[in-house]
Amino acid sequence: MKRILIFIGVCSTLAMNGQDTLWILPGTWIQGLDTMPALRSEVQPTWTGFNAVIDRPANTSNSIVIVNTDTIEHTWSTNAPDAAITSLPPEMATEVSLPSLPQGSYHYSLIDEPGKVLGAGGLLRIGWTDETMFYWNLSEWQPSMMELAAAGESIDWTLPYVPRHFTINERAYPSTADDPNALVAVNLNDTCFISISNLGHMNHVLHFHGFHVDIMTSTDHPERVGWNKDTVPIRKGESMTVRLVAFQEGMYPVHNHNLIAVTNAGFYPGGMITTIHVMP
Amino acid sequence: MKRIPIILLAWGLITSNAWSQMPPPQMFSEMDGFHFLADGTPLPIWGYGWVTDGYITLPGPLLTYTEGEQVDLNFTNPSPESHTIHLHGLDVDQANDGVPTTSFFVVTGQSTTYSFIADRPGTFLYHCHVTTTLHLTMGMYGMILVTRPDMTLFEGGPSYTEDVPLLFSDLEIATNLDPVGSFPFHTIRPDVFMVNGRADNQLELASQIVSYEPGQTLALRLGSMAYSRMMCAFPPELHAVCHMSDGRAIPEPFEVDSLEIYPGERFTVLITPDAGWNGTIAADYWNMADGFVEDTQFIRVRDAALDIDESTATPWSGYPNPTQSIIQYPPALDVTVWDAWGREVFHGDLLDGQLHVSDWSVGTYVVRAGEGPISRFVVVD
Repeated sequence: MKRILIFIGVCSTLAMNGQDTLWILPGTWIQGLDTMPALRSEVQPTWTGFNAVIDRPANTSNSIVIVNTDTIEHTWSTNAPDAAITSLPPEMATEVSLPSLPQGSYHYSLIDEPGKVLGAGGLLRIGWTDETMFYWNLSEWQPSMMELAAAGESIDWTLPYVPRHFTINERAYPSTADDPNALVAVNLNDTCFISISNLGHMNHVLHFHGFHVDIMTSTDHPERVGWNKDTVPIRKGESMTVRLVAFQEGMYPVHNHNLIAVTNAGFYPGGMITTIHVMP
Repeated sequence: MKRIPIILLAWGLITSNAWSQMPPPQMFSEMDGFHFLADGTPLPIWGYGWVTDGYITLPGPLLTYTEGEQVDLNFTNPSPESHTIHLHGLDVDQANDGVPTTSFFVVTGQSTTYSFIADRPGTFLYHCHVTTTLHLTMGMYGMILVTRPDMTLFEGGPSYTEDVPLLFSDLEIATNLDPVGSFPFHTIRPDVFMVNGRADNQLELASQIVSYEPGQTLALRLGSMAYSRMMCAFPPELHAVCHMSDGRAIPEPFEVDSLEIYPGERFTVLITPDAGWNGTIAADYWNMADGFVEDTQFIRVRDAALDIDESTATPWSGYPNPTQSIIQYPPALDVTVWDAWGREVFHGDLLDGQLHVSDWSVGTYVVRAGEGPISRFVVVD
C-alpha cells in the first residue's frame, strides 16, 4: 500500500493532464457469458475496461508517464518506426519518451506475453487536431488463453487460435453503437477521419457499406496511401488512417469481412461491426 | 433507298417495344441445391440462380453491367428462409444495400428489385447478408462486373481484350452438411478451397483454363469470398500489372508477382502472356487466424494454339433442358443421376443416350457419366 501511494505521488508530479498519464490496470472483463481477466491502459486509476487514446502533435518529441499498477513487470512499446522498448516495473511509475513522428495513426501496447494477451493497448494519434476523428482499436480475445496469461503460465502459440470475441474499442456489436468513437455519426457531405489499429493476434479486414474510403496513412502498407477502397485489410500490428466523405445519407454497416469475426461467442451478428450514420 | 430507313425505324420501334415488354432477368435463391466437390461428392448448398435456368450454382451467376447503366436487379425468394442481395462495393443507397437491419429482408415467397446505377467500372461482389457467416459459407455469393464498351478498364485507362472472372472462395464441408449444427459460427474453418467454385482436377477442365491468343491482354477480375486471405503468384511470363482495386483505379499501377487478397477485396490485373506459354497462377489460401497455408489451387493459363485434349473436358449436356419427359445425352455408360439432396436416383447405362424422367419429381438434378464432368438438368411439370 505504501509503495502504491509513493508511485501515485511520483506520477502526479510528472503528469500534466489526464492523457499524459496512463494507468496499467488489471481487472475483470465481461463479454456476454464470458468473464475473463484483462489488462487495460486507462487515463485514470480506476478500471472502466476501455483502453485510452494518446493524442500528440506531429513532428514533436514528448513523453508520457505510465503507472504500472500490476504486480508483475511489463514491457511497453509502440509500432512507430524505431520505437523504443521500455520496461515498466511493477507498482511503479515510469516516464516514457515518445519520439517525433509524422502525422499518422500508430498504437502503443504491452509486448510481453501476458501484456500482449491481456490487451492493454490503444491508439496513438499523431497530428490530428483539427479534424473530425473517430478511432477503432481492433482486437479479438480467447478467454482460455487470457486465463493462462493471467496465471503466469506460458502460451502455446502452436495451438489453433480460436478467439470467441471480436471487438472495436473493447466493445462487441451491438455495444459498438454506444461508443461515440466507434459509431461514425456525421452530417451529409462531412469529411471525417478514422484511426484504425489492429492490436489483436490475427489479420482483420474491414468492409465499408455505402462508401469507399481514402487510405491516408499506413504503418505496414505505405504503398497503399492514396488508394480508394471499400474493403481494407489491417494486418496484425498495423495502424492506418482513412478518410471518409459522407456523400450519401443513411445508415451503413462497417464490419470485418472475415466472417467468423462478426460473431459473439459464435452468435451472429456480433463482434467487429459498427455503423456509419450520415444525417441529412 | 428512301424506304429502308423507314422500315428500319419501324422495326426499331417494334423491337424496342417488344424488349420493354419482356420481363428483365430474374434471380432467385434456393436452399436445396448441391455442388460437386473435386472427388465427385455432392454437397448441399444454398445459393442464387436465374429463374430461367431453374437451378442455383456455386458461385451464383456472374452479373455483368455496362458503366452508367441503370440496373434493376429482380430477385425472388421461394426458399424457406429470408435472404437478401448485398451489392458489395457498389456504394448503393441504404434502401438497396441488402442488409436486413438497415434495408429489408426478402422473406419466403417475396420478390423485390434492387435498383442502382452502375456508375463506376470495376469488379464487385454480391452476397446474402442474412446470418452472413452461415449463408456465405453455404454458397450465397457471386461476382459483378461493370465494364466499358470501349474495352478500357476505366476512363483513360488501359485497354484489354477479354474479362476473366476469378472468384476465390471456400467452404467447410461439415457446415454444408449440417448448417444448423454449424453453431458456434466462430469455429467455422473452411476445408474446401475453390476458384469459380472449382477445385483441384476440376480446374483442369477446358472450360476452366484461361486461354489466350499471343499478344492479347486479358483482364483478370480477382475477387475473394474466402474466409481467409489469399495470395496469388503471377509468373513473369504473364507480365502482370495491377491496375485496380475495389472498383477504383490504383494511383500508381504496379507490376505484380504476388498479390494478397483479403475477404471481400477485389483487384484487376492485366496479363499479356508470352506466346506459347502454358503454366499456372498459384493461389494460396491462408488460415486467417494461425498464419499458415491451408491449400493451394492452380489456375491454368495456356496459349490457345497449344493442343488440348478436350474430349474428356467438355461439359456433358443434354437436350431439352428443362424437360418434362426425356432428356437426350450422347450415349454413355455408367451414368449416375442425383437429386437436389445428393441422393442417387439413377445409375446405369444410357446406350441410346435417352434419360426418361416423366415420373420424376420436379426439380434440379445432376448427372455424370463415369468419372467425367457433371452437368445439371431440370425436370418441370
